[in-house]
Amino acid sequence: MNRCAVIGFGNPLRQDDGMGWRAAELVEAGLKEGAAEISICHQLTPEFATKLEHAPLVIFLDAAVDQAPGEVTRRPVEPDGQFVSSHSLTPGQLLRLAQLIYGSSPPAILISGGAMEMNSGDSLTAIGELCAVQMAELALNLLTRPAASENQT
Amino acid sequence: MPTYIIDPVTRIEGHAKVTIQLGDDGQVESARFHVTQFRGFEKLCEGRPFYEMPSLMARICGICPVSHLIASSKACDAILAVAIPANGARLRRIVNLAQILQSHALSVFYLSSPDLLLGMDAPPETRNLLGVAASAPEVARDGIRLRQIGQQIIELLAGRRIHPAWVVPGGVSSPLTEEKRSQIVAMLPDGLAAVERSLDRFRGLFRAFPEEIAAFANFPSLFAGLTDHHNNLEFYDGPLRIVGADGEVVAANLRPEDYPQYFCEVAEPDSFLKSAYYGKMGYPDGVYRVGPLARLNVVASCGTPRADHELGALRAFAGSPLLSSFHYHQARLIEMLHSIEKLEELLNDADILNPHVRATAEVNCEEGIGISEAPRGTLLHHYKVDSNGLVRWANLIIATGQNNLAMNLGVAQAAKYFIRNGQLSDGALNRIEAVIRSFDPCLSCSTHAMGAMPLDIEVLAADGEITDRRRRPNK
Repeated sequence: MNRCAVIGFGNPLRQDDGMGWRAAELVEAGLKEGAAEISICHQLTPEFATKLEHAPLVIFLDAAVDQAPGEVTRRPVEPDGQFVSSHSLTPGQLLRLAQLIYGSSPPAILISGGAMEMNSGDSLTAIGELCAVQMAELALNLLTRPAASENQT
Repeated sequence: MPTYIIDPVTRIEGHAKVTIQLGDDGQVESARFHVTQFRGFEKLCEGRPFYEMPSLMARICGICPVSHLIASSKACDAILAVAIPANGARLRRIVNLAQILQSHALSVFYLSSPDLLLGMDAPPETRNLLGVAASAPEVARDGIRLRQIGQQIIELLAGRRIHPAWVVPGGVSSPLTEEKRSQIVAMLPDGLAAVERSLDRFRGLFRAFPEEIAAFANFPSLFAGLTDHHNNLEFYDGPLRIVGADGEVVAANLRPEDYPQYFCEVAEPDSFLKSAYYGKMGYPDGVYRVGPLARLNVVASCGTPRADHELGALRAFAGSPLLSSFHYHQARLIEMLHSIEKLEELLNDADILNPHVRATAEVNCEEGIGISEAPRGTLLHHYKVDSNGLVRWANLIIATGQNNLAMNLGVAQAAKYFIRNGQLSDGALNRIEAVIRSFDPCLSCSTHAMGAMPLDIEVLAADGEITDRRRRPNK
């Protein structure tokens, strides 16, 4: 059976930039083993396109600097044709790459949490931790719906 | 006399710029490749315990951390004065081959295939991996898969894809399990098929670039690399060999301990990248190249059947030694093929699950030198420690520095060939960058832009006044 993909990304040595990692860990802990393919990384690179090939749904978990600290949002992501660097792709660029090389890309949702601090540091702020918990809850709700293998956007 | 400046040079690992000086007649007089970033690892490691060196030095690079892990650990093996267990060495070889595979896939498919598939004159905004995926999805798919296989092998062996700490002084920190061995072996047929398809696709394509073959650092030089004792391709250990432009052996069986006699370095005022030269020929005449092209030039054969077949075909087409740096691309594909063949051989070794993978000892020697082949060429780490094992001094000789003189000559050669009457077209600019790209320099693993290249070209008068400027912002 094809599994949904969850990709948490960011830099855990930059305080709240690590909330995507933390949220992905919480999602993993909240699911039955193997229920989704969970990945954690610093940056999205082209190789992550392979995880999208058969996934019925992909959820990206990331920290955001363009929303209020503590605010958690979810929004659908569409493939994006602009491309800058092979070392760091946006979710939209990754979807576009998957679309080109596999013929289609799965429905995708970006769940992001507003960061409080992104200075050097290996732990989240209290607000970052709260965001990570809420992000994981949103992701788990999407993944455990009966129709999780269908279009979730 | 106007000067063109290409800043930054794109689709390379790190930050650099190129300066092209024109004469009054509008013809190129000279061109220089400048590296504009500074790292300083040789200094910042002073005072640290030697056993931290592999992990600390691996932080130099996010693309080839395994190469630094290996050269550094070998230097530390010498400080311990131990012979590491045979299976420890075998596992180091496996992770090094996986590193070669993933790094070469990045260079060939992510960075250079846009030039090769879409053309040097294609619109800049299409010259990237998405452009390749749109035009030839099967090529992008194979490139991504090959890089992924290399990374997954590293992750399975060493715990993570980037900056693993599994290679340690005395060997490796844990043995291979049957489960992981089986997982790695299962990936290899897919990798073999992808690299063979790629060689089939690119072989003809390479021949469609006669001007680039002629003008991309195509000149006589020395070539250096490790070999095994049968003069086959070798990435982990073995004597160093240097050959000349007509294939004659200039030096053989060189020992790492003697490197100051043959690998000499000079700092030039316009770059943070030191230039290495062959000591017996002096500076700047002792130009030599390292990396895939050089490695294929110093060996008699690869030592694996499929790679040897491809090497024979390349030599039949381009001669031996291979003089044009354009052939680095095909050399990389051949080394990827060889790496997969060697991985299969090593993983099927009867002793590969042997748990004895690490020797332990205290400081027994206050100096250690480690040498190995990184994706970009010969890499050497040299440490001096005190009796407590604290690092007093470190010297690193990096592959990209060893290619620096050749890259500069190559940039000048391409600039003279492709800039005519002072006219700098976008295609000419890209070709000058592509010369550098063919060497796959790793100036660090920090950001680099690709595709819609950010360009800032200034035309300077002799007094330095900007007389013209073309800027294209990063999109």
